[in-house]
Amino acid sequence: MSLASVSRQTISVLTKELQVAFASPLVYVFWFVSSLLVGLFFYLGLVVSSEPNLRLLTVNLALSNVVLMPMLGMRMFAEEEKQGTLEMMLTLPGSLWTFVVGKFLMGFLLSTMIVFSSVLCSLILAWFGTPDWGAIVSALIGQGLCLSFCLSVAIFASVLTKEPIASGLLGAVLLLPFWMVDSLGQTVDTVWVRQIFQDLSLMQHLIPLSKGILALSDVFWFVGGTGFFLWMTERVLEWKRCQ
Amino acid sequence: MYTVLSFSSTWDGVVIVVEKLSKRFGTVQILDGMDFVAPSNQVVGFLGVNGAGKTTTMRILSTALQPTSGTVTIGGHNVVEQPELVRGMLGYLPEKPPLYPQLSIGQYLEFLAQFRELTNPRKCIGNALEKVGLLGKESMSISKLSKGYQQRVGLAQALLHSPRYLILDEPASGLDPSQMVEIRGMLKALAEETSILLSTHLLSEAERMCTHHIILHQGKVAQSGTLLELGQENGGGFLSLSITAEGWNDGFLKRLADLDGIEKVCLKSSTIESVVVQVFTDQTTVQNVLQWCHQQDVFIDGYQWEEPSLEDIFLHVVGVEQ
Repeated sequence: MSLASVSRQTISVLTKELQVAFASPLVYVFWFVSSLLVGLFFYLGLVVSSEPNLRLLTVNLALSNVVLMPMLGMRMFAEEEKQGTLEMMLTLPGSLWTFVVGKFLMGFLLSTMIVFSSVLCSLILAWFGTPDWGAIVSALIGQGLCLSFCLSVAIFASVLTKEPIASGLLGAVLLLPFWMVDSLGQTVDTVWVRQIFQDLSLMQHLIPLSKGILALSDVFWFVGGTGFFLWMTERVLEWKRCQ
Repeated sequence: MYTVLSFSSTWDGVVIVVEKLSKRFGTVQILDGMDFVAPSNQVVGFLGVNGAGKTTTMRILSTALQPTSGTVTIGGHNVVEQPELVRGMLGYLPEKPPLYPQLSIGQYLEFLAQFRELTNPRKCIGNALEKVGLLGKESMSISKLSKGYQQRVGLAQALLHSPRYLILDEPASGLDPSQMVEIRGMLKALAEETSILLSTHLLSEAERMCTHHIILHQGKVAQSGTLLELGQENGGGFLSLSITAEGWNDGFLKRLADLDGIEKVCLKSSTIESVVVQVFTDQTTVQNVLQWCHQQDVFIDGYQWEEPSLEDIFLHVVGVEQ
């Protein structure tokens, strides 16, 4: 199967996913809640630090992503299984990757509302002062990477169960360790164990980006993590076909 | 008792070949060395009680599931080794129609046409909708359709790419009698250019719709063939005796069943005035049975030799007393 063919199939899945998503109130609720949180975190960040950047906003959004992304991704495969369309999906000619990537792209497009709201916050900063645009761009990249990582975990949780609510809860449970592992590492005395905990920590890789330090290792951590969970999703789908 | 009749002598071509097919879920053996062949351009009925393995077999044929062992070829392609080829030429309607209630009929079929990369999606959608009688209803929301119409949309998705083979799991489930008549006509028309394998619990419908039948029992093919072949395999018919209730006694059925040449005796119905008994035997023994009844002082109101219906054959094969 050629790359062009896979791309066309992925676009058809993306289009269908967007049509299905916009027929549900979930998207609008998600947009409303996420915009509200961005506004709140932006205001609180300015009050606390008075820094003309998005550092605190980006860090605080990482925590809200633990809840928001599973909410967005919980229906993706769970609903397909519940309504019987997963079986059709497994019998269509084409790679299962087209469904995984198509759904991921749909989730990413919808969640970019968070990044878009953050861009508006940056413009407000520019209106009242002289922000560090390098740090702002780096923080926006960090937000996008963090969103994609959390979304991929949520999609993976969604393929594990056919109950959307259970999938949402499972997604949050899977994401929490990535957020908490940093604090846990600080309680460990052994250096190499602490290092492993820090390497696994989402915050350890996001905080530099939020400050304007764009390290490739951090970018690879998010991209690799996203790829790993999408790959796991595809594997579970393939297993469902073979079981 | 289990027999697979030879199809090759009467059918032009065989499209589905299943050999020693087994499927195990954990410790439960769902399919146990199933063998059958299905012919081209026919409507083949897949019959069996709940748990006989119909849906599992259909899921394996449609590549949604892999077998534990055994081989399945459709149109000469192995479903495990060449699943992509099989998927391209197969239309599959699962027991629950795979629909997105948030979409309209048109949006749903357009997605599938684009995904399958059909060269002329509009024409394919039009053709499929025409076949299922939904042309002009593309803008209707799937969530607002009745169960019968949803079943039609499910059938339209299976027909969208003009498949050579159709696998339909309970296509008549939940339909009212008029919808069932429509689906029957539709399938008969489709069979002119498509080979259809369908499962159903409605034996009367299977008798009307299907030209060939495969009866499953406990994960194996118990018998298969045309209605005529199945009837011959099961003794060619049965003797229906109407006996006056006065001459009836409890031991009568057992004594009758013990006679030479009698395969099975079933009580079909009973009223205050008479009792109707089905005697599964050879047509040549009818006179002996009548004579024996006379000797037993049992008065026979009437008798006739009946050709078995699919229901009679099915119940006989799976060993269920009526």
